[in-house]
Amino acid sequence: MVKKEFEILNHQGLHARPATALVTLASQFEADVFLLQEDRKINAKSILGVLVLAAEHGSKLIVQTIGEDEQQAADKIVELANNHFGMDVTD
Amino acid sequence: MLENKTDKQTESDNKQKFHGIASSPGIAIGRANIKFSANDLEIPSKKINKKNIDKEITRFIDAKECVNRELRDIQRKISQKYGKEYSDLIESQIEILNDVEVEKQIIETVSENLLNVEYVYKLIISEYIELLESSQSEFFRERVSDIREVKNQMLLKLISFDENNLNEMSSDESKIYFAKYLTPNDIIIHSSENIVGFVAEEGGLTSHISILARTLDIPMVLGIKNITNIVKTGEIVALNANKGVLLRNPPKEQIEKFKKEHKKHLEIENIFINHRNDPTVTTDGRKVRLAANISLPVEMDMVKKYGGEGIGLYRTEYLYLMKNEVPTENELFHEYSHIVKQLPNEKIAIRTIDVGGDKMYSKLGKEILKERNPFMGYRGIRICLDKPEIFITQIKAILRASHYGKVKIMIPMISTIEEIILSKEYIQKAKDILTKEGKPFDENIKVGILVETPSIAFLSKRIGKEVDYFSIGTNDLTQYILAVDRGNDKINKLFCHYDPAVIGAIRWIIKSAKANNIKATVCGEMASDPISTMLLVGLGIDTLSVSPIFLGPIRTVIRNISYEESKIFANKILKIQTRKEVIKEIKKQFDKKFPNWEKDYERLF
Repeated sequence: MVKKEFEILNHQGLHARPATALVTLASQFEADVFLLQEDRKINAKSILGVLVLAAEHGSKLIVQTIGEDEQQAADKIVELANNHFGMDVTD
Repeated sequence: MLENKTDKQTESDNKQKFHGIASSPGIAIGRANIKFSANDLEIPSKKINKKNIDKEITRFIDAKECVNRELRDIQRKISQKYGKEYSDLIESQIEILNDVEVEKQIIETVSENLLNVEYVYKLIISEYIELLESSQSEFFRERVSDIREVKNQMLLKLISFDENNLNEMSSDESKIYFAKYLTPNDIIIHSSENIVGFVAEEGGLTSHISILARTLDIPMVLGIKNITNIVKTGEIVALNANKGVLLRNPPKEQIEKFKKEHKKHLEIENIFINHRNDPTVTTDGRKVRLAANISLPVEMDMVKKYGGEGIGLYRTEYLYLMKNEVPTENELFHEYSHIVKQLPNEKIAIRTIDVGGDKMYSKLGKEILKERNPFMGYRGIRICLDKPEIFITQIKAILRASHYGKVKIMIPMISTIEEIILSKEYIQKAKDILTKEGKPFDENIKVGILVETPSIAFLSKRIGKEVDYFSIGTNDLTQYILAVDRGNDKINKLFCHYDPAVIGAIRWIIKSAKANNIKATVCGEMASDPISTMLLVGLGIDTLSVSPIFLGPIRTVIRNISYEESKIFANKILKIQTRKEVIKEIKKQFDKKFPNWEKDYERLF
């Protein structure tokens, strides 16, 4: 199991497009991918789960991965988050 | 008491003719397609036998596949008709439909609790809706409507799998869509299917769905109370949206009569199309530019078909309203340049976003819905100046599109001179950024304002030197001058652009434009009303900008009046004391000039 922390840098939070980007990436891995925020844990391959987190700008999340490609999965997701989930920086 | 009620019930069941508000003209015949709301569906819980678990899950998977196919199909059609940007609308629904976690939870719950799958689905998806609704952030709450739509589709599908009665209509049959209320998205989505008409229980004459239906040339009747509970899906209905009449199960001769009228409309349309290149000049040689109002790129086909001299008002809200977030500069640029490239030699006035007021609203903060006075609240340029990053992004996209033609910027809801100065500063800033980025644009792009608040109407003479043109938005100007909310059923009769105060204001604004040597346009609904044309021409208007379907009629009027007689007529109208008499005079004059109008162009009245 791998656990890594990251921060939401997008101004509008982890909403529609960033959430889709995250789910699309997470779904590419064999490993189970979860997001942890305070007492909540959701499946990062679920768009509804990610939306329900309603993670806003500046909130800190932990990605937890379990499975064969867990290290790569966690690294790539943190990388995506640091790149504003592929959105314009102003977004 | 009970008997009485039953009587009433039978009465409404037997009723065959209904009257509503004619909101978008035209005639349509087809099968009724009633939009169900998930809230109306009762989904009882049923125990299932352990043996049937797999069957129940297969039912869910099949329904999901079916909805998937339908959504993909709609998405393809929207993409073809409106462009790729608009198909995002469906993409988010597809994502929600295919959520892996929901599927897992459903399979687990059905297997463990031995419950029917539609009940389980409703339970699980409703939980997500509740969680999102309780979210602090607007951005997340707004996704609820997508989830509701998916829930609705899935439940309908799961139930019809049982009863096998909902989808017996063949998909290429003409349908008339019925709903309690319609949103712009409903119209976009369903106009990509075989929907030939719209009927809704709620809605007013000037609401934006009417504008959208009219510009897409789809007949629509609004305001028929309780109609979704009376008409049944699959029934044949006929819609005469010129008169606001709906017939249920009409006899053959009625259908024939409607079809005959429809044929006549097509003939009239053909006349307008054949004359689309006739110059809009009065009999004594005064040129009045006749441009079109549009909201979507798809309408450019109609502008070309009916011969619009450029675009006098391009409303840019729909892309913002339809997407789940603020569009990017590149998306906007793609959309605007697509329009500009189609008419590179004509002037195209792009209005910056005018959300707020009665427009559905989500991207920039839903708190607007709770405003006590939304029309006097956070809307138009006020939002843009409060959130300059949104404004500058749009201005940059407009500037980049200006490289490909004759683009003008139009700013809505200005109420102070400071707002004009500040807007121009931001426009300069956007230009500076583009210069740095090395992207080409028209350095001398014209900047105009919509004159629609009383304050700016009063100050128009002084403001004229700050801007390149005035565009008179008669809808909002009328509502602000008369202090009448046009969306309020109780008072919308008081809304009237023929009030002497409104006409006086228009005259003053045109005079102010002339004093400053700039042009004045009318782009509100008044411009699309043939009986107003003579008055507006007589007041000295330079441009009329109208819905594409009114280009033909307004061209006909302009070409058959003289500027001299129009001026005399306008002066006469300016002396009248009451709106009742103004309307009487305007109609009298129109009937005198065009005695056969109603007979010839019935569609328009």
